[in-house]
Amino acid sequence: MKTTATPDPVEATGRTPVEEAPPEPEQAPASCTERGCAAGEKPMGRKRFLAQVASMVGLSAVALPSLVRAGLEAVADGRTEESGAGFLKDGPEFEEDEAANIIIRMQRELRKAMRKPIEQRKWVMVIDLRKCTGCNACTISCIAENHLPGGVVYRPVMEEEIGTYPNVSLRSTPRPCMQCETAPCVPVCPVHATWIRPDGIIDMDYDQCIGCRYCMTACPYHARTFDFGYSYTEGTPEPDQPYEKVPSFEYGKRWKQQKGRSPTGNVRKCHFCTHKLDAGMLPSCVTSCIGYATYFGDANDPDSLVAELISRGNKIRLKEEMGTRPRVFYLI
Amino acid sequence: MASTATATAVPAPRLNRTLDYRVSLTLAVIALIFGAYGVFRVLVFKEHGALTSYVPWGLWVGVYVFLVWLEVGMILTYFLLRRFLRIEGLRLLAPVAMLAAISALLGALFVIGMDLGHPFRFWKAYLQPNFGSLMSWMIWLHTLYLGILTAELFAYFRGKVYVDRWKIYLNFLTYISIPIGVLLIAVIGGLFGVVAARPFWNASVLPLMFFIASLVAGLGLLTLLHLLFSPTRGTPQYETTAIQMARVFLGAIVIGMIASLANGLVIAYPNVPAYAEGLKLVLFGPYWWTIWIVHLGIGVLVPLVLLSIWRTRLWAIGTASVCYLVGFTMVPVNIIIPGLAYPMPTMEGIKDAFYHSKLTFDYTPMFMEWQVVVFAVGISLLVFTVGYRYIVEPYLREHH
Repeated sequence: MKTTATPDPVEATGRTPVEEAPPEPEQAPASCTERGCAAGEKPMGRKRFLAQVASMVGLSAVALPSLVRAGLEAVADGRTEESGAGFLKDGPEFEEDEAANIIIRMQRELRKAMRKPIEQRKWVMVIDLRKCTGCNACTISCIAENHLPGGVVYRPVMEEEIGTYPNVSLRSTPRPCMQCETAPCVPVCPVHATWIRPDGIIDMDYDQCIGCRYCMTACPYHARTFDFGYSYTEGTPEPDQPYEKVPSFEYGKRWKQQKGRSPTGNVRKCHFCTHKLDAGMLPSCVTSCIGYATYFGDANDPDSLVAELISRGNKIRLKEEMGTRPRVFYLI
Repeated sequence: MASTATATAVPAPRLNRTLDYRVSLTLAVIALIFGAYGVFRVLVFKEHGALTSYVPWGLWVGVYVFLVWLEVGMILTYFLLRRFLRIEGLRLLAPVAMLAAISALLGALFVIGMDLGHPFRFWKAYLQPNFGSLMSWMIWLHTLYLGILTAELFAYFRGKVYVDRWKIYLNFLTYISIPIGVLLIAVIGGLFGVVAARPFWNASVLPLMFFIASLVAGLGLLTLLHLLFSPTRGTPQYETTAIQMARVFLGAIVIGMIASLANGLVIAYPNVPAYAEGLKLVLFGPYWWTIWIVHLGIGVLVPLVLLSIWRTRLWAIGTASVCYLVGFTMVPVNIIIPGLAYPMPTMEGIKDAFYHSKLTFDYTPMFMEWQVVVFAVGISLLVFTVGYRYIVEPYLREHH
């Protein structure tokens, strides 16, 4: 397994292998720059460049009809991404050489897990702190995916300065919901609005939540936030822009941001993008991580990437002494 | 409604004079008008004041706990004083105490209802409860307690207290209200005490501390009610009862102080940050004055001095109980907010992880939060004033 290799930036959207791996043009020597090449190396000439472009176009012309045909067949069979279960059953398999790409590997493992009954899955997230750059791309993509309003954040990145000058370092720790096995937030809910799913994800029913916020006090990770109904454009000349009214699809339902109606007035939390998992897709924070520092998968599958990672000795869990047994592991 | 002991021989129930009734009613209406806009903002604009995602409970929960301490503590102390110390002068105060408890309870329910994100979904706690949650227990016990007190007061109102069948029924309600009251206080203490994520709360002694606090606060209010509304006013029994209560009150304040000191020292001595941080916030944080000046100064020191030096003077007893009640309002707030106002160990980075005014550990109640509290007090005062006028007073006039 090459966890340190830089994979192709493939989106986990079920594209065919042909589309995923277009033939790469011959690269110029690494020592060549816009200003020229190092001594002894031949710069790319116009003829060579044109030849490469022509070969790329030719290859694309050959591949395109088969791509379109495959796409049309998929639509005809109801195996599109949106159809979820159908796609999972008959979706295209990735070729073996693609396994080097961890996103594709996790995507394939996810679909494999989704074919199992829900109680046989055990979703786990692994975050490699050595790779996390603290860019907050996961935070932003989570906000975009779930249409989170102002003041609600599912996956902030905590930054910690370690040491004193001149021996200092910065550690960035993304903090999603830990989806604890013995979650302290669940039993305290007075109206059964939150519970642990058979696959381990802590679910919520926004329509059931009365907004008492007891679960927020009970969470040792500050992982639950309250939706106060804020908008990002509040106090600006043009508040409540249309994009802020676009519904989110959390828990497989449409949730429109509207004062007085759920999810406003509710407690909200990370749910590993359950709506995406149900459609055979990886959580947003996983696919958006620029450093490939976040891994996701089924820990019950011994061949999965996450099972492999959490079997190592360099894994930790936050506040392990509390015995909450989080399903989010950190590699240090 | 100042207490002025008169030397008349005929008992004169308080508030039977139109002026007192009108003053009390006017105060209640002013409180309701003052607080109405705050309530409007909560119900219509769905505002939650200065609460944040990291300090999700604040002034409203603190006031709720305070009112519950008062309501339950008053009934419990009434029972204890009557049964064990045999203070006969309190016998006629029963309907007044019950009415005051119901008034406080309604104010408490209102203020906690305002705290909910979806106040109109409160029925779910009754129809779809999770009895594994202490909050469900709290809601159910609270409702049961309200029912018992209302039934008792109804019995007084109907004047059936002297009918044998009703007496048995009333005795049963009185006896059952005691364990339910104790359980309610223990459950509310436990509601905070079981939260392992908040080390400042997470102590097995917290339910016991809540129980002691409830008894002392309830005793303070009962003493004040006796001075203001006892039908024995003007008789020697009135003064004797007040002095007896003052003595017990003084002892209760001392016991409460010792218990708080012991608890504080247990937290402070090891100085483990997770636990001690909350205590430091209480004692030396931005709101240090609430504990040192309001609670310990006005609420403890002044009553201690008054009750020690002028223990037989009614004005001193009255002032001591008022000071204690005023000072005690800060206690639940100083338990709840400091327990939330700092990040948990190893999670300190969360403070600066994502900026938003609702993602902060700083909390100062906003004006609209105070408005809601005043509105709740207005409700309590209105219920008490009207209840006294139309329920308690006719009962006292008819039977005594």
